[in-house]
Amino acid sequence: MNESKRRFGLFAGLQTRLQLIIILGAVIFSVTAGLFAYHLGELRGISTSQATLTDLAQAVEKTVAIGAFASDSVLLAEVVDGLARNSLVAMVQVEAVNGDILAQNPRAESSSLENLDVNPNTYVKQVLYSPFDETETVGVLHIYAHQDLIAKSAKQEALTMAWMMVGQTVLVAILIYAVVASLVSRPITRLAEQLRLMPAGSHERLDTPSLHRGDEIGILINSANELLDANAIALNRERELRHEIELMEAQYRQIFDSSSAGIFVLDQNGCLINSNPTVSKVVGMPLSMMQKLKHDNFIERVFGQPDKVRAMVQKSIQTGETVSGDLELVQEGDEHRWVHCLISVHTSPPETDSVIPITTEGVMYDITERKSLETAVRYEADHDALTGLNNRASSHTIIERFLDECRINTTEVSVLCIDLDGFKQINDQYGHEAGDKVLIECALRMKKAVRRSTDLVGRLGGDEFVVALRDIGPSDEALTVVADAIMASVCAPIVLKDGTKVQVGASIGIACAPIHSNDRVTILDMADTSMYKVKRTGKNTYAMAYPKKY
Amino acid sequence: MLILFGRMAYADFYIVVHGSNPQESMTKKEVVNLFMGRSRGFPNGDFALVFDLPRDDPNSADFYKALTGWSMSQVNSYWSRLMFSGQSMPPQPLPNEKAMIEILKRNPSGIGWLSKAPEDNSLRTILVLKD
Repeated sequence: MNESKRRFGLFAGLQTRLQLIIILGAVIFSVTAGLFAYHLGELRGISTSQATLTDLAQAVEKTVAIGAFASDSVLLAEVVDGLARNSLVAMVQVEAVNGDILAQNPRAESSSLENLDVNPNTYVKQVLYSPFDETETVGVLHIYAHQDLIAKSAKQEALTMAWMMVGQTVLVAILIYAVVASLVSRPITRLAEQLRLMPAGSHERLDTPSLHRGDEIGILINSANELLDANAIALNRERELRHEIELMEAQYRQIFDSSSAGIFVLDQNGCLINSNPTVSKVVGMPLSMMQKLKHDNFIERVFGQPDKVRAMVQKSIQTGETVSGDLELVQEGDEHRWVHCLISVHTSPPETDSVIPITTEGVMYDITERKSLETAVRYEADHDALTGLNNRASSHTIIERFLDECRINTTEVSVLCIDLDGFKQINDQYGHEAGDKVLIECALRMKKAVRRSTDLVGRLGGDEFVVALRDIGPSDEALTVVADAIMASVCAPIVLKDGTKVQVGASIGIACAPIHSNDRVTILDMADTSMYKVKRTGKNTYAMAYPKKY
Repeated sequence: MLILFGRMAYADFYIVVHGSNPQESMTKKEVVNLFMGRSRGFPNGDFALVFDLPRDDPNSADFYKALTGWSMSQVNSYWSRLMFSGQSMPPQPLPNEKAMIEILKRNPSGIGWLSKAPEDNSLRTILVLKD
């Protein structure tokens, strides 16, 4: 009770406000009514006094007229004295027609007339007519009242009326206050208190006191009960819904946690918001480390090529679609690990004016196994099983790529066709195994001689090899250095399994792009042609093709 | 016949003075002033001795009615108020009209009233009250 009352504040309570309004109204009304009553009372008092004076004058009129008629001063004195005995009367005077004073009370000062007011409120003049002839005036009766006395009695009456008015107003105000307090504010306060103490969803209901059944308080209580019912129903429904949502949430959480796909959510800075355990399994990072990524750049820490991931994110932002791709993870040791990643970006509506939150959702599958299988297959397809060099088909592809680069970058490429001399004899004399050994050794030595891993060393078939050197033209010294190195290394003796030393030679034909041609077939043809020319002329040397234009 | 009828219908009253009285005539008002004690003399200033008949005289009521318009009881009340002060006295009453005639004949300053006109010249009617 006290607590709820305190919440109102001093002047906020309905009861208090009502009380103030009633007091204010009562004060204003009683002051107005009091003033009005005072004025009215004063007027009434004055008119009462005047009526008294008039009554007095009329009561003695006949006798005074007779006295004046007969000029009987004794009779007149008697009457005048009688009149003067009235407390209101200040002076009585009977004046004859000729102006003589026939009688007067008090007798002493006849000249004090000037001091007396002749205003109609305090003075009565009665003309005296002859008893036998109504047209003949025999004198005048003057009655002067005590002005202050009249005023005093009028004020007395006015005050009485005013106080009565005020008292009545105050009584009515108190009555209204008491009635309102017991009929309105107290029931409302009690109702509020009951509502406050009622726990949410309670089955309790407010009861209507019989006094208020059918009135506004009763309606209020009924409405409150209806609201409580509605609230209880809504609360139940909400509970059921929440339970369902919890179940669904648990299911989703289960799916999220046990999914074979790694699921992660990043904020606009690339920091991890949430991820499932599969992510840490795929990435190979303990959960505690994953937690740290919430303050670090997930993309930088997890992916081997962060730029590619960022490009995918940008693409998803631009297209609004999910972007997928195979991505390599950060390498740990020798193992290359790959994931297939689906990335979609969601722009939520801006929370503030400046920042537009972007969340990146990603799903990753571990495809390391598939990827390594793929790599192996491709390697087998591209490489010669015996020497490990690029085979004919992949060599052609690579040379074509080099020629494309050279066209685009206006650089040069040198293509060397190499044929072993004396291989057939070794093959025939020592067997295929020896032949294979020679081929493997030669391939190894050529690779060493070329030195740069970006250059191509391939086996076109049999004892034919090809070398393509990027950024090296016919006039570069490096070309002759490499050709010399190949020549020297291939011609060095080869030790067979049984310790026999054998030796082969090499014929090398060279053609260069763009001087000789930009076409792969042509350039190979020209290199081949000059190689055969070497073979015919002397072997164990190298020769440059003739430029077409010569 | 006319006179008889008139006397029966109209009770005329005669205000009578001594034959030697110099006052020629008087108005009704002047007579009222004398009989009701307002004045003590004739209009010419001579002292007047006013005589009345008893209040229970059969003609008194009619006379006062004719003179003042008042009833006898009103007249009595009037006099009782004035007599209370002791200053004014009502006219002296005489036993009857005959005594009135005798007294008036002997009083040159007397004045009184009769219900019939005086028959000899020693008295003179100064006003006739016709009702």
